[in-house]
Amino acid sequence: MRQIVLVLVIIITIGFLSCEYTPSETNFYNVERPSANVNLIILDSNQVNSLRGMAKISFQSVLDGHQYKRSEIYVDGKRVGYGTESNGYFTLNTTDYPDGMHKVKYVLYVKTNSGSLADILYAEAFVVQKEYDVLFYNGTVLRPQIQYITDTIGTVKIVWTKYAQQAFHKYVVQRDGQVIAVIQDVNCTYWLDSSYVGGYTQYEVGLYVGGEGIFSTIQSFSASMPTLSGAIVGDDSAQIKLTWTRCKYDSGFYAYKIYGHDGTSIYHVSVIAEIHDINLTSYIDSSSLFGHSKYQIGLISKTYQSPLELSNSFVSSPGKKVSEIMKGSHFEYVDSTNRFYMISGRYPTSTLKVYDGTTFQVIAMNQMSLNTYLRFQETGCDISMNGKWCYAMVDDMPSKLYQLDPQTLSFIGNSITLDDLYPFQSVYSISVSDNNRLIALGQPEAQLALIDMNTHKLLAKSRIGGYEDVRANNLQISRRGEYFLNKTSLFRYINDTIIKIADVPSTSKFMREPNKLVRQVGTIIQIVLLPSLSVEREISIGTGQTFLDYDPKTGYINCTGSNTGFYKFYDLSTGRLVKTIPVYTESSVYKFQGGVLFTNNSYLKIQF
Amino acid sequence: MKTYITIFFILVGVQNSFSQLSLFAKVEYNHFQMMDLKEYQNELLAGIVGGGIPAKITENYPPYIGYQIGFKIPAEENIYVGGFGGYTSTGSRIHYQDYSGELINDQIASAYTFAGILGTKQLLFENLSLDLSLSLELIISSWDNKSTLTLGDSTQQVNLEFGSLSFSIEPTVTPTYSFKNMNIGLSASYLLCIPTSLEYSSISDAYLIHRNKNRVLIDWSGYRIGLIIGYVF
Repeated sequence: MRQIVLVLVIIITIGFLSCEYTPSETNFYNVERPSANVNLIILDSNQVNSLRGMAKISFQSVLDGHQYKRSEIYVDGKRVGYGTESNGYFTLNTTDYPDGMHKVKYVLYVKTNSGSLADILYAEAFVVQKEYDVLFYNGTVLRPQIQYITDTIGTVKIVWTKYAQQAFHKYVVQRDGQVIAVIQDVNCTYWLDSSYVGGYTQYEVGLYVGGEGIFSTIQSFSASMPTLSGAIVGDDSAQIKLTWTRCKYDSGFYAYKIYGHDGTSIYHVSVIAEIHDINLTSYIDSSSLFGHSKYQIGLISKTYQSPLELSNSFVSSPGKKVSEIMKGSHFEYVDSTNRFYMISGRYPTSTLKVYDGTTFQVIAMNQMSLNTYLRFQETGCDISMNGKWCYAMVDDMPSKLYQLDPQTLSFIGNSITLDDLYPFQSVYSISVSDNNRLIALGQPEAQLALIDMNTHKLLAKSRIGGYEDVRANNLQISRRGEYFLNKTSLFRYINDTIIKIADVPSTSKFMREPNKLVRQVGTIIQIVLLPSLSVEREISIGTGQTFLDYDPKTGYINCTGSNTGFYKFYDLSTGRLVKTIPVYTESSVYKFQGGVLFTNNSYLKIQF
Repeated sequence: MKTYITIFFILVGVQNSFSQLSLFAKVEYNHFQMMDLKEYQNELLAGIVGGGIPAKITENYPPYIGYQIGFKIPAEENIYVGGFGGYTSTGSRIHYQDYSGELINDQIASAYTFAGILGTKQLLFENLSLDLSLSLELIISSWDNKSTLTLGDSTQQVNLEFGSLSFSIEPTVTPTYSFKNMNIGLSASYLLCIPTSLEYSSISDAYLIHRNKNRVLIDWSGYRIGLIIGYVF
């Protein structure tokens, strides 16, 4: 029995000692092993052969859709630095090592994105290693010298000194700071620049030793640009024919580029033509700007789309010059007789002239020579719209008014002293209607006076304002002598009195149709009926602050907005835009009358 | 500790000269509450999963075998007193493994029990009796947390050991069959334990805590069934 108990105690004791719980269950995830085509590329292949100084070794990581972790650089088995980013660079100070061969190893770590435990814990990566035997060379390197630049057989040749030491990488030729050639043959010490076609340029040659660049001093080179000239094609034409000398650099030539002012700014030049035939050395610009145009030509190479420099400027002035028609002169067109009337009020003489509306030939003239100090008053001359009545004031005290023959401009009868009709001290301006009513504006007290010149009878008078109103310089009378415009006021003669009926823009004009007026309101041109001022037609011109001139011959109105770049002509009877002409903004429009556009010093007959 | 207990009972076995002394050995299958430790394990899992590792709880303080060795001495008619020493353990595991490595977090809880018994034995038939007893127990607990991370050929391991002392009572019913000096019985009991906190073995007054800063309690309470073999001298 004792043995039995002993056996039991031993069994229980063994069991007691071995009964600790031990976990054994597992949770295995079947995660696929990752694979990818990752790579590390040293961008400058020369740098895997030799390095110099503080080397900057650019590299590119091929990540195959994975995430960059880090990159390392080792020299002779020792880690000496890290790359900056996936497509970045390593920096290595080669002067820390003796000149000679070293083992340089680049290592790229790329995240696997496998989702495995090691990946999650940043302990798994694709690893790419690239190891090279690299020459470190930090001996003195002589700066390369450009020996000469020569211009031969339609190209430019640059010649430099040969490098004769260790660790050569490449020669680099730069023109105006841009690399135009990379040469990896140490024995090749020249470059033919076929991209040069003319103009001033600068060359320099870079020598790369161990990845470090040393540049020559800059040498400039220049060949003359084509000489540009031009001429107006025919009469009254906006066409300009440009001609130039041929480019002599056949090998690099790609195109002639012709630049012209587009009218938006005096300084703004844009390309109006590109000609690819090196032998074609003329061009007709059929859309030359009215009044003034400026052209230049540039040479484009096969390599560069921008010219190094532009040729001389050719400046043209299409349209005929009319020297007498100057800004500030009074100027009228009479449709019924096709005549232009003009007063040239240059001291000490003043002259009235009448021109044929087609030939611009002077038909008649009247030069005021009554007295050395007397002259026609510029704002005191007018001819009725039907061409029957013509009057001119002479500067005198009191003012004297002459009636003139519209055909010969000779005086009819003696002068009329308006003081006899109304006590003006001085008359500033007049306007005459088709029925021989004359409206006069003068001092004292800014008086308007309407006079029937058939009977020399004062019909009505009205005080209209102050000195500024007198000097407004836009006095007009309607064809039937019923309405008057001065400054921004519209008046009506009714019941033997002159009354103001509306405010209108100062650019408003009476039209050839009686009782119609054209005016601008914002960006709208309105034709309004008088006296109701009801709007008969509206034309949107898209811009405000415009110059307007109404031509009774064509019934068109000319609009020129500030800096719009165009003259626009609208037919007021239809509201249609009938013509657009590019404008050189320095030319200010003087008149649009008789279908002719006048600027400061020239005119252009508009072909509608 | 286990070694000392074993030596004690070997000596008792050899020196069986006490009159009416009864020795017994019991093998038990024990259930454990361990609610707080299970919650702590879930918190730990949440932290691992939150870190991107799809780990799982593979074992969670399951029922496990325990042993007791003790003695009984008759006091009055049908009444006896006695004592025993016992050992049981359980554990849990959080696990993740793939081709690249393995993460294991094993928690092993062990309990060493020293108890006094007061019981009564009622004869039902000629050789069959019913034994009713109540044990008052001192439980010395240990709780080991072992974390192992293997990545490729590299393995890192961290072990943390905690301990605890608590009391419990355990009412037991044991039908027993006797022949000659031997008896064999099947016991059923419920251990009602006072949950206690786990103190870090390396630093006193440092305790295992939840995320909410509350202490983690170890609770051995649970139903038990067992097979008991005794010998009466």
